[in-house]
Amino acid sequence: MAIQRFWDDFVSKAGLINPPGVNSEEQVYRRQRYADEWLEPKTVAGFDPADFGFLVPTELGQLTAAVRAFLKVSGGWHRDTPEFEQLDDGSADPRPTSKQADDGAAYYREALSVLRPDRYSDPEALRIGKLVEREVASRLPEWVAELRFETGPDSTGDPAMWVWVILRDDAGVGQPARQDVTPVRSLMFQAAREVAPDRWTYVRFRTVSEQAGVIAAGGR
Amino acid sequence: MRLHNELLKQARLLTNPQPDWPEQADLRRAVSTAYYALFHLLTAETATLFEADPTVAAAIGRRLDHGMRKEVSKSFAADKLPATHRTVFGPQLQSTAADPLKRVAETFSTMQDARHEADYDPTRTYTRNDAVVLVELTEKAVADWASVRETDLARLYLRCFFLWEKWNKER
Repeated sequence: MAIQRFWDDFVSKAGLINPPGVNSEEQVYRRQRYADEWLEPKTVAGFDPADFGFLVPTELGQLTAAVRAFLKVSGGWHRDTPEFEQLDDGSADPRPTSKQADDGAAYYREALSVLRPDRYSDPEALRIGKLVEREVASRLPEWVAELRFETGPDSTGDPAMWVWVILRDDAGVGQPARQDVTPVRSLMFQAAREVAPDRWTYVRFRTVSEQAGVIAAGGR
Repeated sequence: MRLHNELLKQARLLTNPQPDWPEQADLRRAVSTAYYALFHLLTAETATLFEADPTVAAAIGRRLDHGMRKEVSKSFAADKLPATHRTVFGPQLQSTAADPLKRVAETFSTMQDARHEADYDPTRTYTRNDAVVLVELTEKAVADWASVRETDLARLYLRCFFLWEKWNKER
Protein backbone atom coordinates (compact mmCIF):
# COMPACT_ATOMS: atom_id res chain seq x y z
CA MET A 1 0.00 0.00 0.00
CA ALA A 2 1.48 3.30 -1.08
CA ILE A 3 0.33 5.19 1.97
CA GLN A 4 1.94 2.64 4.28
CA ARG A 5 5.20 2.87 2.35
CA PHE A 6 5.16 6.64 2.57
CA TRP A 7 4.37 6.48 6.29
CA ASP A 8 7.19 4.02 7.02
CA ASP A 9 9.77 5.92 4.95
CA PHE A 10 8.74 9.25 6.42
CA VAL A 11 8.27 8.45 10.09
CA SER A 12 11.47 6.40 10.31
CA LYS A 13 13.51 9.54 9.62
CA ALA A 14 12.30 11.50 12.66
CA GLY A 15 15.23 10.42 14.80
CA LEU A 16 17.71 11.72 12.23
CA ILE A 17 16.14 15.16 12.15
CA ASN A 18 15.83 15.50 15.90
CA PRO A 19 18.53 13.15 17.22
CA PRO A 20 17.59 12.27 20.78
CA GLY A 21 19.93 12.67 23.73
CA VAL A 22 22.17 15.43 22.30
CA ASN A 23 22.21 19.21 22.68
CA SER A 24 20.78 21.50 20.03
CA GLU A 25 24.20 22.38 18.57
CA GLU A 26 25.00 18.72 18.09
CA GLN A 27 21.55 18.16 16.60
CA VAL A 28 22.22 20.83 13.97
CA TYR A 29 25.61 19.31 13.18
CA ARG A 30 24.24 15.78 12.84
CA ARG A 31 21.30 16.87 10.70
CA GLN A 32 23.72 18.37 8.22
CA ARG A 33 26.37 15.69 8.52
CA TYR A 34 23.97 12.81 7.94
CA ALA A 35 21.68 14.61 5.49
CA ASP A 36 22.24 11.85 2.94
CA GLU A 37 20.10 9.60 5.11
CA TRP A 38 17.07 11.86 5.47
CA LEU A 39 17.23 14.89 3.18
CA GLU A 40 16.46 12.77 0.15
CA PRO A 41 13.38 12.33 -2.04
CA LYS A 42 12.87 8.78 -0.76
CA THR A 43 11.80 10.21 2.60
CA VAL A 44 8.55 11.35 1.04
CA ALA A 45 8.37 8.87 -1.85
CA GLY A 46 4.93 7.42 -2.30
CA PHE A 47 3.15 10.49 -1.02
CA ASP A 48 -0.17 10.90 -2.77
CA PRO A 49 -2.61 13.55 -1.54
CA ALA A 50 -5.46 11.28 -2.65
CA ASP A 51 -4.47 8.82 0.10
CA PHE A 52 -5.21 11.52 2.68
CA GLY A 53 -8.65 12.52 1.48
CA PHE A 54 -9.99 11.98 5.01
CA LEU A 55 -8.09 15.04 6.27
CA VAL A 56 -9.88 18.36 6.41
CA PRO A 57 -8.79 20.63 3.51
CA THR A 58 -6.56 22.84 5.69
CA GLU A 59 -4.63 19.84 7.03
CA LEU A 60 -4.36 18.24 3.61
CA GLY A 61 -3.11 21.52 2.15
CA GLN A 62 -0.56 21.90 4.94
CA LEU A 63 0.70 18.33 4.49
CA THR A 64 0.86 18.54 0.69
CA ALA A 65 2.68 21.88 0.71
CA ALA A 66 5.19 20.67 3.30
CA VAL A 67 5.92 17.45 1.41
CA ARG A 68 6.37 19.30 -1.90
CA ALA A 69 8.67 21.85 -0.32
CA PHE A 70 10.68 19.06 1.32
CA LEU A 71 10.92 17.27 -2.02
CA LYS A 72 12.27 20.39 -3.69
CA VAL A 73 15.00 20.87 -1.09
CA SER A 74 15.88 17.18 -0.84
CA GLY A 75 16.11 16.73 -4.60
CA GLY A 76 18.23 19.81 -5.21
CA TRP A 77 20.94 20.13 -2.63
CA HIS A 78 23.40 17.67 -4.21
CA ARG A 79 23.60 19.58 -7.44
CA ASP A 80 22.97 23.09 -6.15
CA THR A 81 25.41 24.17 -3.53
CA PRO A 82 26.98 21.24 -1.75
CA GLU A 83 29.37 21.93 1.07
CA PHE A 84 32.16 19.45 1.51
CA GLU A 85 33.87 17.95 4.48
CA GLN A 86 37.29 16.43 4.06
CA LEU A 87 37.16 12.87 5.37
CA ASP A 88 40.05 10.93 6.94
CA ASP A 89 40.59 8.91 3.76
CA GLY A 90 40.97 12.08 1.73
CA SER A 91 37.65 11.82 -0.02
CA ALA A 92 35.05 14.55 0.13
CA ASP A 93 31.63 14.16 1.68
CA PRO A 94 28.95 16.42 0.23
CA ARG A 95 26.59 18.12 2.59
CA PRO A 96 23.66 20.49 2.22
CA THR A 97 24.14 24.05 3.33
CA SER A 98 22.95 24.90 6.80
CA LYS A 99 20.00 26.70 5.28
CA GLN A 100 19.06 23.69 3.16
CA ALA A 101 19.24 21.37 6.17
CA ASP A 102 17.25 23.80 8.30
CA ASP A 103 14.63 24.27 5.60
CA GLY A 104 14.35 20.53 5.02
CA ALA A 105 13.95 19.91 8.75
CA ALA A 106 11.31 22.64 9.01
CA TYR A 107 9.28 21.20 6.14
CA TYR A 108 9.63 17.74 7.62
CA ARG A 109 8.36 18.95 10.99
CA GLU A 110 5.49 20.74 9.29
CA ALA A 111 4.37 17.49 7.67
CA LEU A 112 4.96 15.60 10.91
CA SER A 113 2.69 18.00 12.78
CA VAL A 114 -0.19 16.78 10.60
CA LEU A 115 0.66 13.08 10.69
CA ARG A 116 1.47 12.97 14.45
CA PRO A 117 2.74 9.38 14.66
CA ASP A 118 2.88 9.84 18.43
CA ARG A 119 -0.91 10.05 18.43
CA TYR A 120 -1.74 7.84 15.44
CA SER A 121 0.31 4.65 15.30
CA ASP A 122 -0.07 4.03 11.56
CA PRO A 123 -1.92 5.39 8.50
CA GLU A 124 -5.09 3.47 9.30
CA ALA A 125 -5.04 4.80 12.86
CA LEU A 126 -4.64 8.29 11.41
CA ARG A 127 -7.61 7.83 9.08
CA ILE A 128 -9.90 6.34 11.70
CA GLY A 129 -8.63 8.67 14.42
CA LYS A 130 -9.28 11.82 12.42
CA LEU A 131 -12.80 10.66 11.53
CA VAL A 132 -13.59 9.62 15.10
CA GLU A 133 -12.26 12.92 16.46
CA ARG A 134 -14.49 14.81 14.08
CA GLU A 135 -17.45 12.67 15.13
CA VAL A 136 -16.99 13.27 18.87
CA ALA A 137 -15.44 16.75 18.87
CA SER A 138 -18.45 18.62 20.19
CA ARG A 139 -19.42 15.91 22.67
CA LEU A 140 -16.16 15.28 24.53
CA PRO A 141 -16.00 16.75 28.03
CA GLU A 142 -13.35 19.39 28.64
CA TRP A 143 -11.46 17.07 31.01
CA VAL A 144 -10.45 14.87 28.07
CA ALA A 145 -7.09 16.30 27.03
CA GLU A 146 -6.35 14.18 23.99
CA LEU A 147 -7.14 11.00 22.09
CA ARG A 148 -4.57 8.53 20.75
CA PHE A 149 -5.20 5.72 18.29
CA GLU A 150 -3.58 2.40 17.49
CA THR A 151 -4.71 -0.29 15.05
CA GLY A 152 -3.71 -3.91 14.68
CA PRO A 153 -4.91 -7.43 15.37
CA ASP A 154 -6.21 -8.11 18.87
CA SER A 155 -5.41 -11.11 21.05
CA THR A 156 -7.62 -13.38 18.94
CA GLY A 157 -6.29 -12.02 15.64
CA ASP A 158 -9.30 -9.90 14.72
CA PRO A 159 -8.85 -6.39 13.27
CA ALA A 160 -8.99 -3.99 16.18
CA MET A 161 -8.43 -0.43 17.28
CA TRP A 162 -7.31 0.94 20.62
CA VAL A 163 -8.42 4.40 21.60
CA TRP A 164 -6.40 5.89 24.42
CA VAL A 165 -8.32 8.62 26.15
CA ILE A 166 -5.89 10.95 27.89
CA LEU A 167 -7.52 12.64 30.88
CA ARG A 168 -6.55 15.85 32.52
CA ASP A 169 -4.69 15.03 35.74
CA ASP A 170 -7.40 16.47 37.97
CA ALA A 171 -9.97 14.10 36.43
CA GLY A 172 -8.00 10.97 37.26
CA VAL A 173 -8.16 8.33 39.97
CA GLY A 174 -7.67 9.63 43.51
CA GLN A 175 -8.36 13.26 42.62
CA PRO A 176 -11.19 15.25 44.26
CA ALA A 177 -12.54 16.11 40.80
CA ARG A 178 -12.32 12.56 39.50
CA GLN A 179 -14.69 12.01 36.60
CA ASP A 180 -16.84 9.04 35.61
CA VAL A 181 -15.37 7.88 32.30
CA THR A 182 -18.28 5.57 31.42
CA PRO A 183 -20.03 8.04 29.07
CA VAL A 184 -16.75 8.73 27.27
CA ARG A 185 -16.18 5.01 26.80
CA SER A 186 -19.67 4.64 25.29
CA LEU A 187 -19.15 7.67 23.07
CA MET A 188 -15.84 6.37 21.73
CA PHE A 189 -17.22 2.88 21.22
CA GLN A 190 -20.19 4.18 19.24
CA ALA A 191 -18.17 6.63 17.15
CA ALA A 192 -15.55 4.00 16.33
CA ARG A 193 -18.25 1.56 15.29
CA GLU A 194 -19.65 4.15 12.88
CA VAL A 195 -16.27 4.93 11.37
CA ALA A 196 -14.69 1.47 11.37
CA PRO A 197 -17.37 -1.20 11.75
CA ASP A 198 -14.92 -3.93 10.72
CA ARG A 199 -12.69 -3.26 13.76
CA TRP A 200 -13.42 -4.04 17.38
CA THR A 201 -12.70 -1.04 19.58
CA TYR A 202 -10.87 -1.10 22.91
CA VAL A 203 -11.06 2.09 24.96
CA ARG A 204 -8.41 2.73 27.59
CA PHE A 205 -7.65 5.64 29.91
CA ARG A 206 -4.55 7.40 31.21
CA THR A 207 -3.89 10.85 32.64
CA VAL A 208 -1.65 13.43 30.99
CA SER A 209 1.07 12.85 33.61
CA GLU A 210 0.87 9.09 33.27
CA GLN A 211 1.13 9.31 29.50
CA ALA A 212 4.14 11.62 29.77
CA GLY A 213 5.76 9.24 32.25
CA VAL A 214 5.23 6.24 29.97
CA ILE A 215 6.76 8.07 26.98
CA ALA A 216 9.68 9.42 29.01
CA ALA A 217 10.47 5.88 30.13
CA GLY A 218 10.47 4.69 26.51
CA GLY A 219 7.30 2.66 27.03
CA ARG A 220 4.01 2.51 25.20
CA MET B 1 -18.11 -15.32 49.09
CA ARG B 2 -18.16 -16.59 45.51
CA LEU B 3 -14.88 -16.81 43.67
CA HIS B 4 -15.59 -13.91 41.30
CA ASN B 5 -16.21 -11.57 44.23
CA GLU B 6 -12.94 -12.58 45.88
CA LEU B 7 -11.09 -12.05 42.64
CA LEU B 8 -12.62 -8.61 42.17
CA LYS B 9 -11.66 -7.67 45.72
CA GLN B 10 -8.11 -8.83 45.08
CA ALA B 11 -7.96 -6.92 41.78
CA ARG B 12 -9.07 -3.76 43.56
CA LEU B 13 -6.36 -4.19 46.21
CA LEU B 14 -3.71 -4.66 43.54
CA THR B 15 -4.57 -1.30 41.96
CA ASN B 16 -3.18 0.38 45.10
CA PRO B 17 0.49 -0.55 44.83
CA GLN B 18 2.47 0.08 47.99
CA PRO B 19 5.76 2.01 48.03
CA ASP B 20 8.68 -0.26 47.16
CA TRP B 21 6.37 -2.88 45.72
CA PRO B 22 6.62 -3.88 42.04
CA GLU B 23 3.99 -1.54 40.62
CA GLN B 24 3.91 -2.91 37.06
CA ALA B 25 3.51 -6.47 38.31
CA ASP B 26 0.67 -5.45 40.64
CA LEU B 27 -1.19 -3.49 37.99
CA ARG B 28 -0.85 -6.30 35.48
CA ARG B 29 -2.11 -8.81 38.01
CA ALA B 30 -5.02 -6.49 38.83
CA VAL B 31 -6.14 -6.47 35.19
CA SER B 32 -5.65 -10.20 34.76
CA THR B 33 -7.46 -10.98 38.03
CA ALA B 34 -10.41 -8.76 37.12
CA TYR B 35 -10.78 -10.61 33.83
CA TYR B 36 -10.81 -13.92 35.63
CA ALA B 37 -13.51 -12.65 38.00
CA LEU B 38 -15.84 -12.13 35.04
CA PHE B 39 -14.59 -15.30 33.37
CA HIS B 40 -15.38 -17.48 36.39
CA LEU B 41 -18.74 -15.81 36.97
CA LEU B 42 -19.86 -16.49 33.39
CA THR B 43 -18.32 -19.96 33.40
CA ALA B 44 -20.27 -20.94 36.50
CA GLU B 45 -23.48 -19.48 35.11
CA THR B 46 -23.02 -21.31 31.80
CA ALA B 47 -22.21 -24.64 33.40
CA THR B 48 -25.21 -24.55 35.71
CA LEU B 49 -27.48 -24.04 32.70
CA PHE B 50 -26.55 -27.55 31.63
CA GLU B 51 -25.91 -29.36 34.93
CA ALA B 52 -26.92 -28.86 38.57
CA ASP B 53 -24.25 -31.11 40.08
CA PRO B 54 -21.29 -28.79 40.93
CA THR B 55 -18.61 -31.33 40.00
CA VAL B 56 -20.12 -32.06 36.60
CA ALA B 57 -20.84 -28.36 36.09
CA ALA B 58 -17.17 -27.57 36.77
CA ALA B 59 -16.14 -30.14 34.17
CA ILE B 60 -18.48 -28.53 31.67
CA GLY B 61 -17.04 -25.12 32.50
CA ARG B 62 -13.54 -26.32 31.72
CA ARG B 63 -14.61 -27.17 28.18
CA LEU B 64 -15.50 -23.57 27.39
CA ASP B 65 -13.15 -21.96 24.91
CA HIS B 66 -11.77 -18.46 25.61
CA GLY B 67 -11.74 -17.42 21.96
CA MET B 68 -15.28 -18.57 21.30
CA ARG B 69 -16.54 -16.63 24.29
CA LYS B 70 -14.85 -13.53 22.98
CA GLU B 71 -16.37 -14.03 19.53
CA VAL B 72 -19.83 -14.48 21.03
CA SER B 73 -19.36 -11.44 23.27
CA LYS B 74 -18.22 -9.24 20.40
CA SER B 75 -21.24 -10.35 18.40
CA PHE B 76 -23.77 -9.65 21.15
CA ALA B 77 -22.20 -6.26 21.88
CA ALA B 78 -22.54 -5.43 18.18
CA ASP B 79 -26.19 -6.58 17.97
CA LYS B 80 -25.34 -9.77 16.11
CA LEU B 81 -27.00 -13.09 16.93
CA PRO B 82 -26.54 -16.60 15.58
CA ALA B 83 -28.52 -17.12 12.39
CA THR B 84 -31.01 -19.49 14.00
CA HIS B 85 -32.09 -16.97 16.65
CA ARG B 86 -32.16 -13.65 14.82
CA THR B 87 -35.88 -13.57 14.15
CA VAL B 88 -36.96 -14.33 17.71
CA PHE B 89 -34.26 -12.53 19.70
CA GLY B 90 -33.11 -9.82 17.29
CA PRO B 91 -35.67 -7.20 18.40
CA GLN B 92 -34.93 -7.96 22.08
CA LEU B 93 -31.21 -7.47 21.60
CA GLN B 94 -31.80 -4.11 19.96
CA SER B 95 -34.05 -2.82 22.75
CA THR B 96 -32.63 -0.72 25.59
CA ALA B 97 -33.50 -3.51 28.02
CA ALA B 98 -30.60 -5.44 26.52
CA ASP B 99 -28.07 -2.67 27.23
CA PRO B 100 -26.79 -4.21 30.50
CA LEU B 101 -26.20 -7.55 28.74
CA LYS B 102 -24.40 -5.80 25.88
CA ARG B 103 -22.21 -4.02 28.42
CA VAL B 104 -21.33 -7.39 29.95
CA ALA B 105 -20.47 -8.73 26.51
CA GLU B 106 -18.41 -5.69 25.61
CA THR B 107 -16.60 -5.81 28.93
CA PHE B 108 -15.81 -9.48 28.51
CA SER B 109 -14.15 -8.79 25.15
CA THR B 110 -12.31 -5.76 26.47
CA MET B 111 -11.05 -7.57 29.54
CA GLN B 112 -9.97 -10.68 27.66
CA ASP B 113 -7.79 -8.59 25.37
CA ALA B 114 -6.47 -6.54 28.31
CA ARG B 115 -5.72 -9.75 30.21
CA HIS B 116 -3.79 -11.10 27.24
CA GLU B 117 -1.81 -7.88 27.00
CA ALA B 118 -1.17 -7.74 30.76
CA ASP B 119 0.10 -11.30 30.83
CA TYR B 120 2.04 -11.47 27.57
CA ASP B 121 3.06 -8.01 26.34
CA PRO B 122 6.07 -6.70 28.26
CA THR B 123 6.26 -3.60 26.05
CA ARG B 124 2.98 -2.19 27.34
CA THR B 125 3.24 0.01 30.40
CA TYR B 126 0.33 -0.06 32.81
CA THR B 127 -0.76 3.00 34.73
CA ARG B 128 -2.96 3.22 37.78
CA ASN B 129 -5.80 4.96 35.94
CA ASP B 130 -5.75 2.34 33.22
CA ALA B 131 -5.90 -0.55 35.70
CA VAL B 132 -8.47 1.07 38.01
CA VAL B 133 -10.82 1.87 35.12
CA LEU B 134 -10.57 -1.70 33.83
CA VAL B 135 -11.28 -3.15 37.28
CA GLU B 136 -14.23 -0.79 37.74
CA LEU B 137 -15.51 -1.72 34.31
CA THR B 138 -15.51 -5.35 35.40
CA GLU B 139 -17.27 -4.51 38.67
CA LYS B 140 -20.01 -2.76 36.70
CA ALA B 141 -20.30 -5.75 34.36
CA VAL B 142 -20.77 -8.07 37.34
CA ALA B 143 -23.53 -5.78 38.64
CA ASP B 144 -25.08 -5.60 35.16
CA TRP B 145 -25.03 -9.36 34.94
CA ALA B 146 -26.96 -9.67 38.19
CA SER B 147 -29.70 -7.52 36.68
CA VAL B 148 -30.11 -9.60 33.50
CA ARG B 149 -29.08 -13.13 34.39
CA GLU B 150 -32.65 -14.42 34.57
CA THR B 151 -33.59 -13.17 31.10
CA ASP B 152 -33.94 -15.40 28.04
CA LEU B 153 -31.46 -13.24 26.19
CA ALA B 154 -28.82 -13.73 28.90
CA ARG B 155 -29.35 -17.48 28.79
CA LEU B 156 -29.01 -17.41 25.02
CA TYR B 157 -25.72 -15.50 25.43
CA LEU B 158 -24.39 -18.24 27.72
CA ARG B 159 -25.62 -21.09 25.53
CA CYS B 160 -23.91 -19.48 22.56
CA PHE B 161 -20.54 -20.13 24.25
CA PHE B 162 -21.10 -23.78 23.36
CA LEU B 163 -23.42 -23.60 20.38
CA TRP B 164 -22.49 -20.48 18.40
CA GLU B 165 -20.80 -22.28 15.53
CA LYS B 166 -23.51 -24.89 15.21
CA TRP B 167 -26.28 -22.29 15.33
CA ASN B 168 -24.54 -20.02 12.89
CA LYS B 169 -24.12 -22.83 10.35
CA GLU B 170 -27.76 -23.87 10.48
CA ARG B 171 -30.20 -22.14 8.10
